[in-house]
Amino acid sequence: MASTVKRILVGKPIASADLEHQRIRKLIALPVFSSDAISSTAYATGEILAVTAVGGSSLALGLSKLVPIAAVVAVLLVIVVISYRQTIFAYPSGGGSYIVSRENLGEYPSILAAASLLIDYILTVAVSISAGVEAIISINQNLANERVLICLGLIALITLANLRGLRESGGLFAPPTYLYIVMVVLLLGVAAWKGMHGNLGHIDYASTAGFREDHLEREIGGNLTLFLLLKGFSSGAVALSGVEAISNGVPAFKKNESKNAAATMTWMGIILGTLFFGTAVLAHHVRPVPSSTKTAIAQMGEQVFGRGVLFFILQISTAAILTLAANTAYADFPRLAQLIARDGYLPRQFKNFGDRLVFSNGIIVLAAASSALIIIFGGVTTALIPLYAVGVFTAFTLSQAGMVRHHLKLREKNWQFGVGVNATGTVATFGVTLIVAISKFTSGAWVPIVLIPPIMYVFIRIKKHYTRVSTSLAVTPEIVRKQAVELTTVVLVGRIHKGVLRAVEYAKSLRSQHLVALYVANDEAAAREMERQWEEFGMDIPLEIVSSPYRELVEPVLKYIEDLDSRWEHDTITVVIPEFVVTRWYQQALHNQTALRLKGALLFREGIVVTSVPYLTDGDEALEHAQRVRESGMVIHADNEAHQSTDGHGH
Amino acid sequence: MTAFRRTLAYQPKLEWNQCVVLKKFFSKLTTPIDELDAAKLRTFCCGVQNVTPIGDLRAREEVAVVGEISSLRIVPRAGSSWLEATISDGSGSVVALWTGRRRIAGIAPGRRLVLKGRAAPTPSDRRLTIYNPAYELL
Repeated sequence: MASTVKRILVGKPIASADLEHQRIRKLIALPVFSSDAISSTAYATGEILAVTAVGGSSLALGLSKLVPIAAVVAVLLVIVVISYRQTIFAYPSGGGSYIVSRENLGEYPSILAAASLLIDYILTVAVSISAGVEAIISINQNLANERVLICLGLIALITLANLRGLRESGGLFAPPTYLYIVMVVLLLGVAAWKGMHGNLGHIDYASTAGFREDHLEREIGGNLTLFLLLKGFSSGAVALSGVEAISNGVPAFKKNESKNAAATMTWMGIILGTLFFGTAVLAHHVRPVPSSTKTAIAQMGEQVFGRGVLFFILQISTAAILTLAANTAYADFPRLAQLIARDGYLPRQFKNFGDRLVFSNGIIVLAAASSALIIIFGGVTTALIPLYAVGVFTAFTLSQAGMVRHHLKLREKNWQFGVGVNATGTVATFGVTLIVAISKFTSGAWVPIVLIPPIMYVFIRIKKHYTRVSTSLAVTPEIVRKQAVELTTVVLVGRIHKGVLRAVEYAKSLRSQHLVALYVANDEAAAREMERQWEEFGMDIPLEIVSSPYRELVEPVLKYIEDLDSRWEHDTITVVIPEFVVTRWYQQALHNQTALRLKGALLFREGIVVTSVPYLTDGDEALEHAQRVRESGMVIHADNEAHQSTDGHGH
Repeated sequence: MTAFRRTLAYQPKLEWNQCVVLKKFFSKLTTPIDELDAAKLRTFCCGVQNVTPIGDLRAREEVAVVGEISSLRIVPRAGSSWLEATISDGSGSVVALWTGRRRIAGIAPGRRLVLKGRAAPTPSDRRLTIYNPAYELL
């Protein structure tokens, strides 16, 4: 039943041999790896404005600082791109922040990077999806009320697609990414053309709900506080999220991988920088009003294109690239979780491919966490942004610092240059981390700052556990010595039926030193009856009868086994449970789950093996059998049916 | 549940000779209801005069013990047959074995009784056996 549902939703399993290692061209790699980074231009400008213009100041003041802030972010982008080109050449097999910091900085920095990145990916999904939905809402504001629902629906869709094994296929990624790039370039081009001909007007504020005219009328005399400026910068810095993706995916490129990846990195930097800076300049002229129901890009698009086909294509392509950006996190999060699990800091379940050759557990955790964030923050991008940049820049910083160590250690050709580049990167990204953490602390950056240490602690505990278990299981030649083990076998019987006979035969075949059948009697009459049957059917193994003062099965069995355990040293007790297995899952409800409870109770005991001997039965067959038994006159006494709780022990 | 939690407690560096210790540890493993029952049984047995606690029994001594039949063993054999019961009083357990009988009225799991006889070592395990004891149901 459950497996049928899973089959319909997820599809049929894929064999390990079908795992493809395809390599992709630069033209395809660009959209595959940079949809995350480039898509952030869809909200970064608006988010800067949301802080500088709405956060207690006027739009005019915010606008005047937009371009300078964008310029600083662009410079930061250049630094980070150049730094990551170093990583690409140094780690042709893929060098995410986690790997680089693990190899160069040691344990704690690497798990800090890991925790930051995991949070970062969760936020990538939450932010991208909420921004994507905002792009759709910008077309029709009536949808704003259903914002959270639409977000969750979209996450569910992506999750399902990924559980089915959606790969980062170029055919899927290329069209929306390039369409978005073309649309924004077109937006900037048309705006520039209109601007040159003097018919690029401002947005008419009266038409924009929720914006007070006095914001504009206030005199431009004042100045933004440094704090607010830094806060605005922090919002802009999220444009850099996802830049590291290419450095993770170097092996996916065609030969010569590093060179191709580095070239793609440069192109991505140029495109991202151009789009981001371009939209900032455009916003400076068109003056969009930050709003959670109409994005800055949408306002500018409507102003420049008019509410026509181009505007719709712009919005749709924005939503599409943002959805893809969320999708990249679906590839990155499970992949990173797998790496972390491989090193023993996460449960091993994250290491396993699901039956569609994807890391199903990672995907599900990511979906759950990002959905929770969407619900908590109401799907509003502006509310989520402050949480975002901390993790991104912490990971950047550690990666860059790791690269500095890498250069110092290896001293390859031009290592001095590498040190210079990466040291600059380290200082710059560390600076940004601090700025983001401090300026946005109260508005949300505290969330990752508070969350990361416990996550690291859990990582360390998990690692400790695995280490401890493997030490305690480790075998040395001295330990390998003959250990005389006496076997005691106990078969549980409820009444004598086919399943019990099979279990008894199995138990006898174990050839253990002590073999006994165990019956739990609720009262003396039941004990007598069982005794009588045991003789009547000529059972040839001893039967032990224990009483159950509370008409219960598990406790007397445990007590008996404990007593048995104390009779011999170095013995292993095998408990054989005849388990009545019905062929239809719904029939299961008709039998009580004693076998399961017993197994659960005995699981945690040393030196006790629990074996269940299944007895398969089909409802109809059982009826026929009962009919035959009745006709042949071999009556199994009806009063046994009354003892439902001990009926067969395994029913 | 407490029993579970106790067993779940992780034992680092497990080695074979520690397993025995672990088994002893497990032998303490009973739920509160069980402990209560055991205490009840002990109290009951202490109330009976002129008996030896089963835990203090030594082989080849004429003794009287009191306890509860914790399990009854039916050994099907063609020809000869016997009835075997394990009797515990909370301090230990002893086997009572009646030869030539398949069934004795009143000897059933859960019954309490006084046994008189001579304790002998059991060949197969560490318990003592009293062969054909005189018994008195309580």
